[in-house]
Amino acid sequence: MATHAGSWGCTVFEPRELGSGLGYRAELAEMIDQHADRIDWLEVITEHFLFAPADRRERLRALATRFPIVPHGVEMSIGSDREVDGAYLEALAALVAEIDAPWFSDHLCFTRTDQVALGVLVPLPRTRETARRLGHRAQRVQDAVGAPFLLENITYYVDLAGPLSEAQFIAEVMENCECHLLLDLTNLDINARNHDFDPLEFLGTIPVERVAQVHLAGGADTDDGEPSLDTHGEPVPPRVWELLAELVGRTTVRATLVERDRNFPDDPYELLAEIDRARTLLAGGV
Amino acid sequence: MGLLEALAAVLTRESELATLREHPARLRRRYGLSDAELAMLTGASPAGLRVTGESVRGKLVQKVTTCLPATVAELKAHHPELLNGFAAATVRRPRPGEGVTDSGEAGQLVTWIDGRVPAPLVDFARYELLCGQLAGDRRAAQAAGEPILAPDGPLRGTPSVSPAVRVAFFDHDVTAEPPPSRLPARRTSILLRRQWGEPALRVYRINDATAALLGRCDGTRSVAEVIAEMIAEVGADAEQVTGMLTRFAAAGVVRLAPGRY
Repeated sequence: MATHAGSWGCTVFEPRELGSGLGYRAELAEMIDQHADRIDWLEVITEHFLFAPADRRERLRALATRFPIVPHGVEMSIGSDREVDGAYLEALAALVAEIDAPWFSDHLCFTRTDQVALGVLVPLPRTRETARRLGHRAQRVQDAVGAPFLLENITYYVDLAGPLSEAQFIAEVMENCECHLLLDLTNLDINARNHDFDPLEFLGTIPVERVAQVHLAGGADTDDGEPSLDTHGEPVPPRVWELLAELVGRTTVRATLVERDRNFPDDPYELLAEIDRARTLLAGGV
Repeated sequence: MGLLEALAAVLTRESELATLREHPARLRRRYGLSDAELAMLTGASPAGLRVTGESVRGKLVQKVTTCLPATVAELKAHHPELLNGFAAATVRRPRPGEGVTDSGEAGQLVTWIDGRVPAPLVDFARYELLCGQLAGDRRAAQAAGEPILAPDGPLRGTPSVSPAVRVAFFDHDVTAEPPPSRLPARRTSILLRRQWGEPALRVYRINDATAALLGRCDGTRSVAEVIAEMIAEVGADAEQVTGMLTRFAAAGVVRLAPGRY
């Protein structure tokens, strides 16, 4: 992977191009195996393998001989008041090295406090102080693991409204680190509708040149005043495809990833068609 | 303490959510919040807090399901109020080095349903918990992947059950066909063995004499002492015990460490 010296003397990683990938889930393993030629890369949930028994790690290594694999974390809790757990970071660095991961990613949020392990992605107060602290911490995580660290925007239902908009908050985090962004366009679409903001204005505020990867999924829309939900259980909706087209018109995206966690389609070609469509858009098609 | 701790408490405890709604000043004092932080919490939409709280409880059930899939399916089908009550009453505590197969909350669920559902289902839940714990046990997996060092010549040393093996007893036949809440009442001893790869586990029903033998292979008795105890306390035959020990050692179920002969 390409690197150069950053503004603070730290190493800056330049994520390479991966193409169009799919989130690995046990339910999709057979389909992935049978259609490997149509899937450029895979993303696995970090915590499924981080402290896993050796035979499960062996299966992951075998998978890594066939696909580039990116560990995508859900439990780093980078926004917690405390530093990221040292044992977690050490294990993460070992995992990244073991499968030669091109990068690793996690969410801009917190999932635990000293007292409670929430297990879900919960938003942070959008203040400059929080953003600065988060950026510096993300840089330390990237330096400790020794690979590019991508931070993902979450779907949030609790809005801890602060002085910054979500886009301004993300921009401020990026100002304080040399990490990259994993932009979840479905989360952006859902947040824009739930919290009534313009997704294009969001794209105009974040440093889009730092977006290395995109997530694509389908959520659950409601028409009864309830929030739309990020379920990963439906096809990618037209609004999200339009956002991807808009984004690739503004910057070079290195990788897209289709996520499906439930309602797995009987017809594998449904997901493969989404992967193909993302690849076409990455190449500048429509 | 602080804003994140206060938000986590509001999302996981109805009492703290009520405090936020009815006595926000108390919440501010309890968590040392500034005016701006309290305003962020009180400004959060009730729908947003509810949806996120439901998500926290849903994630807890999902995590427990990883370890106890059949038990949770049975609870969802026949005792949904118990499962919901468990999710509402349980606050997960952070644990360093926690993996997805961590069974802490699954153990809590087994305790939660004890005495509240039919006894066969509780027994089955204990069995499933044991399976989940063994499947995720890194030492067991490592032991399962190691070559078996079968003894050549007479058995000697101190036998102990392999880290890849568990022996357990139940009052119901946990190996019988489902549904788990109607398992036959029958004392059942099982040997559960971690294997390398898939499937990760194999289960064997064993008789009382075998269970008694394996129970004595705990790394504190020599082969001779195990045999002597089996003769004196179980009424076993020395040749039979030696034969069983030899077969278990050859299969890697029992390991022989050098020690007292």
